[in-house]
Amino acid sequence: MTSPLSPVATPASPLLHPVAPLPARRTGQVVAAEPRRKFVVFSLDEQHYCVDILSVREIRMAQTITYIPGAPKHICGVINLRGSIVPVCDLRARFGRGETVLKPSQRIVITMTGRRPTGLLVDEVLDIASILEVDISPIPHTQDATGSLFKGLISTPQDAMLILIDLDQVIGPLDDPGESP
Amino acid sequence: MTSLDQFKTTYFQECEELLATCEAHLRELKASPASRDVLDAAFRAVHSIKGGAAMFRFERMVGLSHAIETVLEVSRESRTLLTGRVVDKLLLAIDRLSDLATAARSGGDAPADLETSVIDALTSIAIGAGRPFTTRPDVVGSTRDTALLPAPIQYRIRFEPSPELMRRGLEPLTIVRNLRAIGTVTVAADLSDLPAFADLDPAMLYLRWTFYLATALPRHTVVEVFDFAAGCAVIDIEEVPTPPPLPEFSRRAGEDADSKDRRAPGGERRVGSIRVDLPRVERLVDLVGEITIAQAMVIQHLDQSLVTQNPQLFRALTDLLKLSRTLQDSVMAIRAQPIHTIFARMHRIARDGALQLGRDVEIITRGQSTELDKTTVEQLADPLMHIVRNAVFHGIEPPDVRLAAGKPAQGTIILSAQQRGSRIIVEVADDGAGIDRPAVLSRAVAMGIVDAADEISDAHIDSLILSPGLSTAKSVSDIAGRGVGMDVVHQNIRKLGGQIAIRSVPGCGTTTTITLPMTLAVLDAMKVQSAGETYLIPMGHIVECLVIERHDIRHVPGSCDVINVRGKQVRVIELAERFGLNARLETRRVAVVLTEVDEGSVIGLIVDEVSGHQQIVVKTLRDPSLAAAGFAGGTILGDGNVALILDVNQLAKSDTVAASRTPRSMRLSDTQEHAA
Repeated sequence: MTSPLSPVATPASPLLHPVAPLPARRTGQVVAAEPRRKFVVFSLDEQHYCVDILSVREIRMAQTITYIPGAPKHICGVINLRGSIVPVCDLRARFGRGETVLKPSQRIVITMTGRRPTGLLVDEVLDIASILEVDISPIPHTQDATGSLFKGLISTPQDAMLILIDLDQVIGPLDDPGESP
Repeated sequence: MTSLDQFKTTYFQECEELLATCEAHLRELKASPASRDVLDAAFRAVHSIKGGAAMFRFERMVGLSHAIETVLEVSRESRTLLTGRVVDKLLLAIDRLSDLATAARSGGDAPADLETSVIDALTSIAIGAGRPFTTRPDVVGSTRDTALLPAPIQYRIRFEPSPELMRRGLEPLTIVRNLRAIGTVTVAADLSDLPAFADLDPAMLYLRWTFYLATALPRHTVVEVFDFAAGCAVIDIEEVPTPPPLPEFSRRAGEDADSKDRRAPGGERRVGSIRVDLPRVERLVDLVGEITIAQAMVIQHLDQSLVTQNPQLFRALTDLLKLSRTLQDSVMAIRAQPIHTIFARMHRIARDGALQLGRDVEIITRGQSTELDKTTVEQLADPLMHIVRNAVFHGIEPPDVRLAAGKPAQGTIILSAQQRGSRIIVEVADDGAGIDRPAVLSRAVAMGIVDAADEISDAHIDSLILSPGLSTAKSVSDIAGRGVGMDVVHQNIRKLGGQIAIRSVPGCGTTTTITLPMTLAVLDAMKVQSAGETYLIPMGHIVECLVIERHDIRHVPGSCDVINVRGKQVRVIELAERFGLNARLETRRVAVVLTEVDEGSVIGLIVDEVSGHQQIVVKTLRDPSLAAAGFAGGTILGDGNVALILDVNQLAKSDTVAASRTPRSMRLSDTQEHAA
């Protein structure tokens, strides 16, 4: 059986450099002081998104997701994560792009907000990117509510765009008592 | 934590238990003052409290427990002394003792004259019975006037304490002192187990003793001296006819082999108990839960034909199932606690409340030894307290009203617990005025909970007092407004996976019935299928399962669906419809699971198939986004997937869930799964 993490390593990403070594160091430029952050990059349809690696606990193969009647729309159900029950958020539905149909190539990214685990159902996990703080630009202000789910935009050396997800917004506030009808 | 602190902690834990035991015994004595065993047991409990208190120098506890002890002691000889009044005084004294213990535990000081009046009262009882009373005991059992007693008897007492004795905060020297106080003692110590100095653990006890005691006091007085060490020592008391020769150490060597044999392996003599940290037990419970799941997985993946063709495999599997079931029960039994620990507290609640209101209330307990999971016991205390308080405040009338109504002036509250299948039934029944239905109804109408135009059954009105905000409304001017309301009681019971029902007969009283699962961790459940989804229904709720023709379901316009079960119309809910599952199978025959809900009514759940009974490990749906539809939790099935446990009460109340998305579980089809 393949490791759940192997897809991260296998598809050669056309967009991003591998994490290390940093090209800057190789050329001897003084950039060590510049803060870098690492992000887990994944795709949903054609668009690439990322979340801070520090909030990712693990990446799982697609597995049966049990439907929960009455749960919020973007929660497509729950999975068994080694004996505990973890909700899974269908990111496609969350971003208002229709519902996902489960395929074996899909992955569930288990994230932690606070001490609360939530899975994100994504199409493919692509890479881990190391990004300079300065390369993250803010989201242009719009009327669209979906915009508030993101924290920033990242330009990659290949002129592609990564959307940085605001997990707290996507998953919902922590103190939500969950009494919504 | 220093070791002394540890001893103290243990002492206070024991003290709490002993106080509860003592209180229970005293109450029993009130009912049957002639019971010698009970009196002895109460005496022993107080005695142990006193012993420990003396060890830690809680002087006030020693003083008070000594006073209680003396009265009990006197009652041993003059049985007539134990009138209801005296027992009440003793109970009060136990309350005070418990207050002192609480204060001592928190390191504080109880109010200065907390116990003085009760000690005075006890003293006068003892003096009234012609017993000289020492207010400050020097040593245990020294209160007797030995001069008046008959000729002394010789006892040979072999005392072989466990090496752990001192670790339990017990001090063998106390025994010698106490024996000295009741007679003439000669002591011989057996040093044969004493290790070399380098190997000596100062916290261990390596010595054994033989005491020769000459005393005129009765045998039980001698036995009492050793009471504190019972359970962690071999104690052998025998009468010897002649005064023994002065023992010599050389002689002891010969006896050594003998005594060694008796301590030999097995040690069945020490039944005893151990204290284990709760997290360790919880870990065990978790593991057993995981085993249950793993086992279900193994069975699911086993080829059935393989099993049937191989009788040995079949037998091994059956054994495995049986064993793991036993393992589960045994682990749960570790967590089980008798309910009397909280019943005992209720006496006090009722007494305090009655005193405050000038009412006369007696509490009768039944089935106190019924055992419940520790967490359940702990969390049951608050709701039960509230119900009992309610019974005292709202149920039991003032004595004059009661007399006018032709009832005895003293009100009775019966607390009972019993096990029924895998559920525990706890009942609080009072013989008070019953629920004031018109008042409750008018409040409920005013609050918009019910419609005045509706026909509302009496049972429904009774259950209305569980509605939020209504309980306090009924007692606007009353003292019972404080604390949790009945709706909180309801919530708490629900959290424990239980149900609550209230029955009331005007003028005759109110009965509150709480039904609880024995354990929260593992549940027997029925697995059902509806529109391709698997759900679990707790067995405790299930009345029966039926198979019916779909056309037997009648729709009541503007209301709900009903079916006819042996001449009774029963409301049914189609799960697939309720959950908005769109893949509903239009089969001709459907299964109905009849379940009992809160108010004692029955509803039927229509499913496609009932696929069997299973033990499940309950996992809470902690995530706030999952709390919505009202499930009792989830579990992991044998195939590793999650299935939801239905909350039948919630189902009966809530409305159809609007499907917010494609309403079914997402699965990879089998072929794809293999490809992956």
